[in-house]
Amino acid sequence: MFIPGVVALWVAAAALVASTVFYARCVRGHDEARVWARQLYGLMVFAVAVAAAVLMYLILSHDFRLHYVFSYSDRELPLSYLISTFWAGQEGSFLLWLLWGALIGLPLARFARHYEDRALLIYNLTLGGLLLLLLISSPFRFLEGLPPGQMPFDGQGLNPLLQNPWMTIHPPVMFIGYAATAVPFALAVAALWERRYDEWIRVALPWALVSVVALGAGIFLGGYWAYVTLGWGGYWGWDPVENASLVPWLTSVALVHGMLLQKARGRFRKLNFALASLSYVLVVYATFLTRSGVLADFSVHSFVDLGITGWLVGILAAALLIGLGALLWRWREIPSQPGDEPFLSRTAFSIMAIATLLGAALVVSVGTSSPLITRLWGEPAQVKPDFYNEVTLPVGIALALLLAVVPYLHWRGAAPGARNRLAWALLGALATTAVAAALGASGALFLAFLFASVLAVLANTVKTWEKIREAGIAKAGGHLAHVGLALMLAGIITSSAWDRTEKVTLPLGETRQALGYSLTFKGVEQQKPGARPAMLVEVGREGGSTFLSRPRMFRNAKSNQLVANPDVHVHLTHDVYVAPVEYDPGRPSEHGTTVELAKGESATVGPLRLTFRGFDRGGDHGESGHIVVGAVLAVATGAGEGEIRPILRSTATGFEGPPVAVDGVPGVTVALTGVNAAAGRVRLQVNGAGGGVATRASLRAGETLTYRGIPLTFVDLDLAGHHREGGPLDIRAVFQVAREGGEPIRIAPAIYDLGGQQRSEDVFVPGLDGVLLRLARVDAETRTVQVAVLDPAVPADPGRAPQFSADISIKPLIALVWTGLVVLLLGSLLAAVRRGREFGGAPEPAP
Amino acid sequence: MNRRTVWTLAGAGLIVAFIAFGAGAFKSSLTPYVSFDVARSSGNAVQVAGRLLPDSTHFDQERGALAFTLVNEAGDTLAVTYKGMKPGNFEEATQIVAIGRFNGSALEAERLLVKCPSKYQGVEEKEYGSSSS
Repeated sequence: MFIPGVVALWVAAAALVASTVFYARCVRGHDEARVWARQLYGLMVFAVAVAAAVLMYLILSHDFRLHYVFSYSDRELPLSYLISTFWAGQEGSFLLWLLWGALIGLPLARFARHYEDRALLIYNLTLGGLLLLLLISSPFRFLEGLPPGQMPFDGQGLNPLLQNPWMTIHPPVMFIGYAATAVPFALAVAALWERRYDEWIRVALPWALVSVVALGAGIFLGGYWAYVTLGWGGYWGWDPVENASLVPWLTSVALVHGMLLQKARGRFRKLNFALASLSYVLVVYATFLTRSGVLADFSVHSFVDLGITGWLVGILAAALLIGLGALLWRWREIPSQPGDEPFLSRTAFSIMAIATLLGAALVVSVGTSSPLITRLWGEPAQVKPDFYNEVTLPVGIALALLLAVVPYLHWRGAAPGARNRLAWALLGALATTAVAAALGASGALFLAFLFASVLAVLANTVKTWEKIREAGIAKAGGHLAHVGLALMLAGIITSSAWDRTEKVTLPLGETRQALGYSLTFKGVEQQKPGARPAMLVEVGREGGSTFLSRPRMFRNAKSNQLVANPDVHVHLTHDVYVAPVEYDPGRPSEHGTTVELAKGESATVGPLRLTFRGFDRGGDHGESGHIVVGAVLAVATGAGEGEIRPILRSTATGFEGPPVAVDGVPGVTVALTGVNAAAGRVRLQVNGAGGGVATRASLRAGETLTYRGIPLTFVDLDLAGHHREGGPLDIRAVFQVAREGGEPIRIAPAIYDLGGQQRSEDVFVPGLDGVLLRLARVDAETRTVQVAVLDPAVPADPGRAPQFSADISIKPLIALVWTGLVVLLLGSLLAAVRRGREFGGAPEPAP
Repeated sequence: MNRRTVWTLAGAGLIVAFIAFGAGAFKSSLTPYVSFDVARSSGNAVQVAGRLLPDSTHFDQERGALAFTLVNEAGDTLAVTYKGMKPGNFEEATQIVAIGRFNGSALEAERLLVKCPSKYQGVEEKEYGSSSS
């Protein structure tokens, strides 16, 4: 254990317990204890902040003695991602949650008024649960079995999928939302305890809205991250971790509506007590599901049991007991009156909206818990994602319908002139649905959903506009949020119903058609050494403009994890989404050979004798912006002498040297593959000269390979020689070729290393016309060589071009999902600010 | 019957209908964990788990699918195809869970879950033995 951090946590625990004890004394009427309780709470916040600072310092200073630092960071991470490793793991994210919770308690205590003693007592208990988990599974523990005074040189690094700007801010935002759900819970219990059932709504409403905004923003960041980095084409996969943020969001939204209802009508007290407890209990339950390891077999996120499962169950039971117990305890005392509002009133619609939201929360919770539920009667089983899509569809339609009508309603009935205005919105929605049907949309449910959501968008936009003109934008938050939700629903259905995906396999340089686009794989782009390589795909609309798509696919060097990121091109009406599936690097043609020549030097390759005359500075090979180098080569063949001018040019993916045919020897090509201008040397690739591989053999010293009656005996390796440019690896194998009626001849093919790439220098086998001996591999220890014999009579293996497989999809109107969610969040934020101000400005109610 | 009762009854009816609908969907979309034998004979979507048979992975260009073979503890093997991106850490996985339907020759997976060696086990001894400072 790293002592300073652990001490800070224990100081926080002691201060928290003491603060709770003093608040308990306040409840018993000892008002003088409140000063102490507040001071001790402040000390607790300070100690938690110190613990967080210590962990951050340990991460930034690369103290790999710590299990946490070792597991999630390494020395290569840039500063921003290094900071984000703070919440990459379980213990760190609990610490972050605790830090937010502790900070939120400060304004809570200040503004809780007469509820302070009881509310803070309960709130301290919720923080105590988190602190308990941190003390059991500490972020400050050292690696096990580490010898004293030693530290691993480097850590294991951060999961490459999390190295994304969206993902670095997602957890901190999410945990603000998680922490804020404890506030309405604590206030609700305090209100029940104190028997003051109404004022707590005013205190808790801004906090409930904070939860809605923070959880919503967290969902947005997570969804957008999934869309742009994971590459399966969607933004929501109904994974337990995603559901764990959705369910508390749904119940928090329900709570906000319940509170507004109680504020306006003075009723529905029991409902709000239940909703406030439910939101918090569901947050704890979600934590239990995702952190205890019970879903380990059922989620793509790897969960592990850190030995806190039992404690989580205990905390969950305590939260349920306190929330539910307090409500049942006062159940008969809470005043309730029957209402007389008609069906077409905001009151009735709010109740229906709450029921619908709770319905959605219920089915998502049941689905997420399916492995636990099915365990009751048999083997644990999980529901397919279809389940969620199926059951949330009617919920979505119901929500859209409610949203569409609610702008025309007052708390006590329909607004005047509602019918007229509704008629206009209805006409607009009908027209849109008709257009959609004409465009090929079908399915009754789908059209109904589309109709309802378009109606909701139109109706709420008009209402928001009226409200802004009447009372200013600050009071239009709620209506704006409804516009956002309606837009989002419209986006979800259009983008999923008209989503078209096609799998394409693109051999290098060839163009394929898919979904009305032409796609050409241009190669692998690596802008800098060490940079993440991208697949370069040119995407063109027929008769339209083209753009380059850069989906990435590479192996993370550290974890050896295959990382594939899609590339998304956003257009006004649709996104073009290219997700990598598979990259096949292909196989180089085997019959080629490489020669290096200085100016004036010559080399014989198969039937060719090549002489490098000099660089080609004349002529205009260049397109603008590209580097082009040419070489002038004299070529002597059996048919005569000639000259060729191969070039090397820069492209978006590197350099390419197009092969040049040689007159008189069909099938043979020469390409310029490298230039060293300073030394005046060129590297050439000659293809088609040696023919195909006729036979391969693995030989020890003294063994003989006989090819077409000619015995080739492997004598020994020659390690003394050095290739001109060969570098460290340059090995020759000496062969003896016996000839009938003559002295045996020695030949020595070589293998050498050029800039990391293995090259071979082939030699002719005497007595056989054009047959080459190639050294393929050498094992110097056992003195074994692998050789290949290339014969012009054997057809050459042309190799296989690299090819790239991708899923290309067109996602119409998906931008609506993102804009809708952003508008929804903006509206909620406006509402939170408004309710906070309203509360702050309200006169202190008489005790 | 007054209006209030009517609305209450209608509301209760809707709630019951929704619960019944949800329960039906829940039951029909459950994918139980089954053995390879059951997976081959069942026409429903199921969930199987096994290790990856080494070197069995290849990309089927014609069908555009990842193809591989799972082997269970009893040594039984099951061919699986998956029309999606190969998950990260696929080869290193200690266990692969495939969810899908058997089509007569292979399990057509709709979803793959890859279980990797836990961050919390085993790595400690393995990783830092060679390094110190």
